[in-house]
Amino acid sequence: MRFEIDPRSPRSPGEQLQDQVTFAVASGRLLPGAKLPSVRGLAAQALVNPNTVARAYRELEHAGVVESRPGDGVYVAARGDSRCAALSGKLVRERLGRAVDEALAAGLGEAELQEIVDRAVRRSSKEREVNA
Amino acid sequence: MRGFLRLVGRELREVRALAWVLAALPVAAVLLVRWTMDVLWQNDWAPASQRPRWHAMTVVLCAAMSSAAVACDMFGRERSNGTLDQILALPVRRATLWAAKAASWLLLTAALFAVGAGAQAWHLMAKDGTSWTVRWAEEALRSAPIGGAIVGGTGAAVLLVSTLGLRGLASLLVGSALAAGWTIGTARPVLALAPQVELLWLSLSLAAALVASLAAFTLGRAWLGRWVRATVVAVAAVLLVAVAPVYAAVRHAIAVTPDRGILQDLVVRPDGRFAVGVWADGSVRFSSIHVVDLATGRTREAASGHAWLVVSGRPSPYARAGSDPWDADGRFVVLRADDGRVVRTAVDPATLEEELLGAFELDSAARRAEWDAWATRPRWQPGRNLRRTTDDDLRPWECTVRLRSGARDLGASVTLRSWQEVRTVGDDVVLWQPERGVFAARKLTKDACADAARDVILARADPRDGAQPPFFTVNGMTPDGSRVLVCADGSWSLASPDGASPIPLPEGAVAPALSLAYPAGLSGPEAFAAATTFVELHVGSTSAPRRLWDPATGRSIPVSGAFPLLSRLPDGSLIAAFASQNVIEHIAADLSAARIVREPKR
Amino acid sequence: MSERVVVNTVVEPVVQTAGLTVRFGKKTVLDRLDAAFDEGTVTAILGRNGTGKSTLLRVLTGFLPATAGGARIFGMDCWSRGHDVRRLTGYVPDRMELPRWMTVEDHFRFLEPFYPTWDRAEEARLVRELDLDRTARVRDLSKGQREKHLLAAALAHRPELLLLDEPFSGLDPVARKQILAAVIGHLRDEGRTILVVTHSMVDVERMADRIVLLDEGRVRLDRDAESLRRGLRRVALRASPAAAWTPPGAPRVERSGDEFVLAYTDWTDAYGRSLAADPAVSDIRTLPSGLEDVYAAAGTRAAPDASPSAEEVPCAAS
Repeated sequence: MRFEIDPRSPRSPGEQLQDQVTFAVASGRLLPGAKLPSVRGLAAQALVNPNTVARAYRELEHAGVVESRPGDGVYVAARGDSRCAALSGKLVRERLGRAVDEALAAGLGEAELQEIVDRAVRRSSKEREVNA
Repeated sequence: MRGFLRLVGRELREVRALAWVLAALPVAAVLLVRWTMDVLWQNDWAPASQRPRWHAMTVVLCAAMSSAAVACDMFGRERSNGTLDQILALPVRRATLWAAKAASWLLLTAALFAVGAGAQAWHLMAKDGTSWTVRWAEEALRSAPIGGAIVGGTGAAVLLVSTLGLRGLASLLVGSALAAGWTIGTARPVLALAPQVELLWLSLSLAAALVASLAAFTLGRAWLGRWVRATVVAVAAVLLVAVAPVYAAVRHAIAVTPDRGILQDLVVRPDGRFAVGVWADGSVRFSSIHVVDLATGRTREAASGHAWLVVSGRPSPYARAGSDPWDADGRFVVLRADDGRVVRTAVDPATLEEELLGAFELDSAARRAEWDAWATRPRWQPGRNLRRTTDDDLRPWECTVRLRSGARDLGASVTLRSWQEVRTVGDDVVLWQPERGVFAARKLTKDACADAARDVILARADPRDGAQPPFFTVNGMTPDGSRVLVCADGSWSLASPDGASPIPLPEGAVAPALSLAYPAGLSGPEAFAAATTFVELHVGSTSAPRRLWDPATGRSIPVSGAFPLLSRLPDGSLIAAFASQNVIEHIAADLSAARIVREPKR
Repeated sequence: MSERVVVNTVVEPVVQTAGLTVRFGKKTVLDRLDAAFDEGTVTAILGRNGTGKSTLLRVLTGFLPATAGGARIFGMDCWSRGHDVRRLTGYVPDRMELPRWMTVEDHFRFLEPFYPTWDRAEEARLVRELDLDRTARVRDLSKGQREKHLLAAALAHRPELLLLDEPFSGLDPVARKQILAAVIGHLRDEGRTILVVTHSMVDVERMADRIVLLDEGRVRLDRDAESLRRGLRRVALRASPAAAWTPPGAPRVERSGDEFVLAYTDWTDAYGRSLAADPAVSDIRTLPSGLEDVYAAAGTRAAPDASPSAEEVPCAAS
């Protein structure tokens, strides 16, 4: 899979890499036991400092998402999928929660908010179909 | 090393277009001046004798000014636009960087020198047909020392100051170095000039230096405005270029000086119209003949060349052709030794045309004999070369000379030590000999070589116990040795070996020299017999003006210059050429009235 | 700091300055700067114009002597052994007059003899990666091409230390991405150290392990990039009564009436909880925040032309 850094994202490049791995594992695009790109490979692909990649991998390992096998590489951990599901759920909840806060503060009604969410979900799943 | 060469290559390649333009400007300027001078030469206005100096100066100036332009660019470039950062980003020492700059600048300068000398050589070759390579080498060698000094000074100044980064000071130094070099290069002969000329010349140089410095300084001052800066630079350029011809003109107006050599001889044509001076460079390797038009005082170069061995009809030991130098057509006949050849030519003083009269080859043995004769002849040493001679000063130098009296071989030889001199006086051979406390002339004959000679004690000093031994100073001796100017312990007198009592010089006379004035139109022993003795002296101190003193009458006239070669014109007046300063200065003097009739032309 | 620092505690830092002071006349550009940069780290040196960033690099490359104190690279004094230092250093200056007449190839060949470690294979790789034309003359290169050429020249000898001075300024996105890729590529070997002076926050985020903010010749802030990124937070809120209210932590505070904008560099959720629990505080909003806020949060002096009420410290203008 392809890793990209979005310079407009509020998340740091390291966090973005972690997120991308977490979501990929949670969605099943990366299965437990799958080999992740090497630190240098990923750095070259995503155009970030290899130290950043290494740190992201370390964080993920710490969270139990991946495991590194010295001299071989980094692999999705055996129970990484369930951890990722929990992690990504937490992440999404956080972010949606913040967005909802802002929307309500901006004076949007609950129905309007619901409408916006529905529309976003429809668009996103359609895009995924097209990409698939 | 490879890196260093790359740096040098880069430096050479980086010289800016502006520097090239600046480098080309002096070439153009000098060519323009040269063209002017050529026109002047053709019109017989500017002295032909200036030519060699001009040739050399052309090369020096082209190279020096061009080189300065390049140096300013090379050494100043890095600081001016900050590219030093880029160069220094290389892992090289600063010293290496500057060395590369200096090396490339030297290379360029050498090339500029070569080009300048080449241009000169080409220019001269077209005129006189000498081979290109000989000319090139000659020009390069002639201009190398002065040019080296100028270029070296300039470069060092620029290098030093651009390292320090003081642009204003750099400009000043560059200007000064240029001007100083220019002055040094041209002021040498000036030092032998009249004081007022020297002053004028030096002030002009100084003005040029100041304006040049100002120009260089203003170049970096943007606030002055373009036109102001351009004007200053233009004035500086004009001054620098104009100073040379002004100098030449001024000099010509006052006196005439061949560019090198010492005046060896001066003979006046019997009709009194022309005098011919012969210069030699001291080694008899190169000499030149100058014709002086006595009516106008103008001097022109008649001929010059290498290996002029022999000239003139002067009855002196160094004049080879002892006969009258003037032929029936009033032409000056010269005997010249070329390499392996002796050439006889006649020079018409009116037209300066030279005609080959004859030449003969010398085989190698004959040549050697010729040179041997030259080397072993009784050496004529001006007495002024002898100083403070005591036995202690005698060097282990010996020379055996066969004795002759006139044309007669005495069949004996005598060994000379140190500066002892052998002269013939009439039928006598006279050995001048200083000994402890005594200066004596010893008349030698064949027998006298074996027997004790008759000594004529000319001067004697009796040192008291413990006192310094006395010394003799001989400041002049006639070519035949018949009269000598000798100083023993401070008092001067004119003496001769015939035992006549010495003639004391005026009270307070110092550092005199002895000269003879030969009557015009006579040659050989007759001329010499009729020659008049003059003594040159200062009265009071060596800084007092020189005077020519006639021992026969005791009268004197003031003269400028020193050590004149004198001739009497048919009208009895005296013409003096001052050899020591390489300036022919004509004075016509009526010594009977002790007054100058005709002043030097100014 | 990254764990790599721990590994290197016994090793002398690649770059170290001690009391480094540079004055130009009366102006002090670097003021008793003590800094150390460890092997294998990428440090972004930020700071507004004229705060001594480029001067620091010029001292490190050994063509500007320190007025006082000194700097060492690989233990060698940068001034007295500048030529040795430069041999181990790749340097891309912000402004460089290359010999205009040289071609790209000429320039490589010119540089090669000076670097014992020059690697033709690396050079070829960089030429390919950066899309350089060897036959192009320097005078014909565009700004982007020139910058890329400089970078290739700086990297072809595989320097242990790379100093970049504004490598991204004024470049088109393609060139900038190529340069970033080349620099990242350079990092594939262990132990490569980079100091980059830049205003491009996007690239700082991608490249830097560590961020050093210079202000008036001194280090105003020196943080691990990741933690700094997390600690940067701007919060707008209303507080009443405003006069006596003080925020938690030590943010930079801008206030107009009872409206506050707090700029943190060390944000933690504890501050958030503290604010939420404060009865005097209402209308808490988190403002969009990025690395460029470091200037505001670290409280560098405002630009002379910035109006007093300006909420944003003009990163773009610096």
